[in-house]
Amino acid sequence: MSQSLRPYLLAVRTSLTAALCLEDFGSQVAERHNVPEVESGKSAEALLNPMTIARNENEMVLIEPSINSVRVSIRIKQADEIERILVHQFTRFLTGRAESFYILRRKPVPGYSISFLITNFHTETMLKHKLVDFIIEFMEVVDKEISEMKLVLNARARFIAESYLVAFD
Amino acid sequence: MSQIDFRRIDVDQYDPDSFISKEDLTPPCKPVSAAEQQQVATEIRGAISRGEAKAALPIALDFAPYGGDDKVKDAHLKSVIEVLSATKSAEIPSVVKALNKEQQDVLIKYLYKAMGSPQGQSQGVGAILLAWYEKTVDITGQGAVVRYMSDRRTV
Repeated sequence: MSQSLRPYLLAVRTSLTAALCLEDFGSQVAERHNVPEVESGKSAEALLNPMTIARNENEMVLIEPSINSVRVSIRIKQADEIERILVHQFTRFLTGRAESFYILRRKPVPGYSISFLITNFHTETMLKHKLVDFIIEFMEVVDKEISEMKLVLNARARFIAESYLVAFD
Repeated sequence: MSQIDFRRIDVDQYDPDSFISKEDLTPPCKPVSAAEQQQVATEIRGAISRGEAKAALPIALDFAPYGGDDKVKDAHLKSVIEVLSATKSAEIPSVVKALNKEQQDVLIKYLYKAMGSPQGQSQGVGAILLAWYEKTVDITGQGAVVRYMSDRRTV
C-alpha cells in the first residue's frame, strides 16, 4: 500500500466504525413503515452530520450516518477519459448485480461513482468489522483494478494496431 | 391537468405539529460577527509569522464560530487550515496532546469540514489534513468522531 493511501483508508475506517452504530427505528412519518432514514430524509432529528474524507478533489468518500442506516459513497479516481469510461463500466457491472451484493445501492449519490447503503438489518445479520473491512478492501482493490484494466486495454490496442498494420508492411 | 399528480404530494410537510426543521435542532449560539473573526484571524496570522503555530492552534479552536453565518465560518476555516499547514508533521502529536478535550473535538470538526470543502481538497492540503486526522484520532479515540456526528452545532 502506498504511503499516501494508508492515512486515507485509516480515516475512512475510523469514521465508518464510528458511524456504524445502528438500531431499529420505525418511520415517524408513516405508521408501520421502516425505511432507512438517510434515504427518506423526512425526519431531521434522525440524521447525523455527514462526513467527507478527501485525499484530493478526485478521490473522496462521503459517509452519511443516521439512526438506522449509513450511506457510504465513494468517488473513484478518474484521471483521464479512459479511466472515466472504465469506472463507469465497472460500477455499472456491479450495480446491475446489486441484488447479490446486499449493501450496494443501485444508483450512486450525485457526484460519486458508487454508493453503499448499510442498514440496521445488515449489521444485525453481518459482522460490523467485516462490513468495514469489505468497504476498505473494495476501495483498495478498485484503484488497482482500474489501473490494471487501463494497462491491459492499452497493450491490447497496441497489439491489434500492429497486427492490422502488418498488411501494409 | 397539472394537479393530476396530487397523490404524490407529501401532505405531511404542511402539518405544523409534526415537522422539526434543522433550525429547531441547533441549540442557541452566540452570534459571531465578521469583525470579531477578522480580529482573531490577524492574531492567528501574527502567531504563525512569528513561528508559533503551536500557540495559534488553541486560539483558533477556542474561537469556534458556531453562531456565525457561512461567510464567517468559511473565513475561520481558512485560518484554521493555515495553522494546520504551518505546523510541522513531527510536532502534531505533542500539539494535539496539549489541547483540552473541547479543543480536540473542535479540531476533529474542522478536519472533517476542511476535507469536505474545496479549500481542503486542493493539492497538498489533503495529505496534511489526513496526517492530522490520523494523529488526532490516535489520541482522542472514536469518541471525538461520534461527538462530531451528533453535535448539532457546526463550525
